[in-house]
Amino acid sequence: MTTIEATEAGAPIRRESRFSWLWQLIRDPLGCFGLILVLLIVLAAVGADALAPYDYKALDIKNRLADPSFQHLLGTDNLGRDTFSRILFGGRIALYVALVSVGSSLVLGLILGMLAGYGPRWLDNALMLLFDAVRAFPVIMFALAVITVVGPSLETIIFVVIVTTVPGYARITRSLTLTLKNNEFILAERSLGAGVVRVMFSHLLPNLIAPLLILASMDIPVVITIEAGLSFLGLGVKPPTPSWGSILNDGYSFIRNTPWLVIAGGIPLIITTLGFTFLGEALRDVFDPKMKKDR
Amino acid sequence: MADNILTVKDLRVRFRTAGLVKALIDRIEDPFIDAVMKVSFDLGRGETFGLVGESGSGKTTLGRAIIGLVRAQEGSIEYDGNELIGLSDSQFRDIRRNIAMMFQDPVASLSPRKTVRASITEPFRIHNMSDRNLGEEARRLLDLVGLHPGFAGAYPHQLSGGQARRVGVARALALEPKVIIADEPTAGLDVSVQGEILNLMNRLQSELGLSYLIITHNLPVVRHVSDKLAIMYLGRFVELGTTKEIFEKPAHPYTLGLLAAVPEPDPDKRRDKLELQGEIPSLMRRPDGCEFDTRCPFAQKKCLEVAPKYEEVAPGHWASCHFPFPDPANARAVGKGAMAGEGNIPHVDGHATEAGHKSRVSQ
Amino acid sequence: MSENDHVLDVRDLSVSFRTGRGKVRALRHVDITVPKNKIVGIVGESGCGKSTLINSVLRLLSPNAVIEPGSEVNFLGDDIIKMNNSQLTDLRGQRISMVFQDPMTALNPVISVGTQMTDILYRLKISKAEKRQRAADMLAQVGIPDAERRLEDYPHQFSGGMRQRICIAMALMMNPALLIADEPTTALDVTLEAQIIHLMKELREKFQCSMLFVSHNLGLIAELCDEVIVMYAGEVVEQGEVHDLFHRAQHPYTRMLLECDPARIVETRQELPTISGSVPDLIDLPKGCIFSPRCPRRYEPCNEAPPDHYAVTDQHSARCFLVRDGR
Repeated sequence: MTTIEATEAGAPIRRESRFSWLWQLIRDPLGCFGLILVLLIVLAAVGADALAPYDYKALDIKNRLADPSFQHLLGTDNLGRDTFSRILFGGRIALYVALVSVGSSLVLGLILGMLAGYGPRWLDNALMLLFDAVRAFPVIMFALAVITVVGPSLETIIFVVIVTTVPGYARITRSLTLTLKNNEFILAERSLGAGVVRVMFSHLLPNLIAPLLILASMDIPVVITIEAGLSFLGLGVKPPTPSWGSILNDGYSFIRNTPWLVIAGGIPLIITTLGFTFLGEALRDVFDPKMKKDR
Repeated sequence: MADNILTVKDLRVRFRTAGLVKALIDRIEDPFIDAVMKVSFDLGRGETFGLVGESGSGKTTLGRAIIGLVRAQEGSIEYDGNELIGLSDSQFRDIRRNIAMMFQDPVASLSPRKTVRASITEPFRIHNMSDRNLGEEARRLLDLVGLHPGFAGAYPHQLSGGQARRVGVARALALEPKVIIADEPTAGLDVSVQGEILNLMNRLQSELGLSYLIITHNLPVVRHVSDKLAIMYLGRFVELGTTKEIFEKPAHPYTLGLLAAVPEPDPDKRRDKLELQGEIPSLMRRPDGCEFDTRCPFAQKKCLEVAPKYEEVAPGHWASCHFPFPDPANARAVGKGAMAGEGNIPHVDGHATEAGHKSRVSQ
Repeated sequence: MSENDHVLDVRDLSVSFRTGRGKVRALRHVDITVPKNKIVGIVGESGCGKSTLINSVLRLLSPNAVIEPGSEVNFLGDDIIKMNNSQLTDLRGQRISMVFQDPMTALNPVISVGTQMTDILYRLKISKAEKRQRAADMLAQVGIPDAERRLEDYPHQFSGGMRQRICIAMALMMNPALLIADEPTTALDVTLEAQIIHLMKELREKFQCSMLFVSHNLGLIAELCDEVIVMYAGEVVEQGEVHDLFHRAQHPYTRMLLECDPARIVETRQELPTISGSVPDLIDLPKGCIFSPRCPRRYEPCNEAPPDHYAVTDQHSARCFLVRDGR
């Protein structure tokens, strides 16, 4: 009896590796392209120490505002600092800000959203009130206000970004949680005796991560641009710390002398934005149909 | 009387329809609906009890109340002599290990990002029993339900309906329960595959001494698998008895209607039989008198005014009807026709919705 | 039967789907006919292709579907496969209508029922009031009381059973020659199901239309249909007049299907019969008969080549060598 059943119920199953989504991503041309760009940026930032030919602070006044040459791949800025090296370290800044702020936002938004969706009604109402209040604030105004009070720095930017983006993630998490919590598998787990914590972290969380990660990857270039913008306005990093935005700022002042500073500041921004956006869109394509069905 | 493993007495489950403030403002006196209204039955050891009803009958709510997913307001649920209602969460957890549930949608009741192995060993983790060799337990459970051990690494979306159901059974069996509540065990399964799961459940019942509570609206299936059954309507039992008796000599007109509504796979046996008109009334507007009077083809004046008592109409056979064991020949409505006849028997059509308004329309 | 007696004449219909894993041959050389004023039932289990078949009739297939050359879907003389968009628009809702499985999602939730019904009459050059009158009449005919007033209501104000009645009313508004019903009662309780089936029988008489009724429920098929087509894994394995099929089924799959139906089994609490194995992969088809891997009566010719349709009577045929060889 058991043998017969085992045989007929044991139809061959197509084994799916845990990383099948990665292979699918690579097969999509835009996704592959995005992935390559992102990897490039990350490698450049991480390996800045090794890759940069010069110290980003090193002055060479005699050679200021030079055009690109073999010694200075992207030329030099108004103080004779090697632009290429500054770009590489600037990437580090950009990624640091982006990953820390988006990462923290994601975690915080996830937890608060799950609490709002799965917890008691009053908690949900209170949190939603809080988030709506925060979102009513225009981001730039808020940023300027904080910077004026606390002074410009990377940490300030990170703080501002976190506060203004948490409500977005929380809201989405909340919607997804509300939908999921009435699904049969949640009911099944509860019927087995699973407590609230287990349901939230072991069963709701894994199903929430994918859509949030996609959002996060689309937010990264936005945050980098915010940082660059604030630095461009002089409200971000302090010199001599190289930020793509501050490079753009310098380049803007000296654009009649050489266009290369502006180009050098702008190109990495473009590459980063394109890379993360393509990656995010491709991730969404990979995850969306998969979440529905697969036979 | 056989030893009863589960005894339910006068169970009542109510749901709130309006919050406190709204109830005050709209002047709703009783902002509740009774999804389950004073239900009693026994489940014997090794027995299979069928809960039969259509949507809105309360059968699913009753099942969920027994396993503790939904709170019961009144009544008692005794498992093996232990009262379940009023227990603290931790006390309930311990006893609850003995009652397991199988859900209607087999694929949806499995956590989508967990492998089969993770899902079926989840009960061990929940009850802090992970010191056991979970890999071995998984293998043992898969073998018990006739699934190849290779399924352990599969994800729910890769399984067919029948396979997913078996996984559901495996998970239910993890903690060696004595009672399994199966919610529509054959829903969505092709007819050629239904037998597999039912045969499996049957085999497990004799091997492991399980008792089943089967919740379903599928009459041919319940006829095959249950020893006793109860027919539910608007949260109440309208009939209870052995399967054989109920199918051969139904006492309540609703049961008659249900049995007549099942189409027979034989073109020589086409129906011009009793057809139940209308739809189930809203739980928010329970009819006066007998709650079935809005659709009953045998309804008489008394039925509109006085609610019948739920009593024994034959040995071991209970029904709530003033005139049990009606003769189908006396049915008043066949086809779309109006219900003519003595007195003012109203003809009400379905309106079971939130926006439910519609007062009774008399003819 | 001459061609003039057929409302629908499907010939050699083959449909495949292009997927990442390969070409799924969902329908293979399907021939069916729907005579005038008859109800033809299509019965089959999951994966048999019945949904693909009716979607092909109305050309509602997904973009990755391929209708193989040589396929014909003749409706009252015209080949639907060769129709262009405007001809299809003329066809749908007017000459062929469909009732779907789930009444909860078949209606637009934000438009009143009356508007949805009168919209169907957009092709007619009659006044608005006339259209509303017709809609109200249809609603009354399908058993919805107080029809005039209820035209204003929205779908969520009706129960599931009533919504299905509305869908049927909408399908019949333009008096189509063919009504296709795709599992119209699967989502309903059994007493509502009985009411809907009863309604469909009545309406068929009144409106004199032919029906293609798809279901996996043998009881409903026996109840309603004049002729039955049994499908398995993309092929028609048996077809015939309803009494022939239920009482004198020839194909082993049909027989086993009838045996498995719990409503036909008299002795209770026994081991229930099943059909062991599973539906074959439609990408990589076996060489011989599609059912032979699961067939308890297979013999030599079964694995060599697929069988033809062999006649049992002039109205009953099965795709099985057993019929050919008179076993």
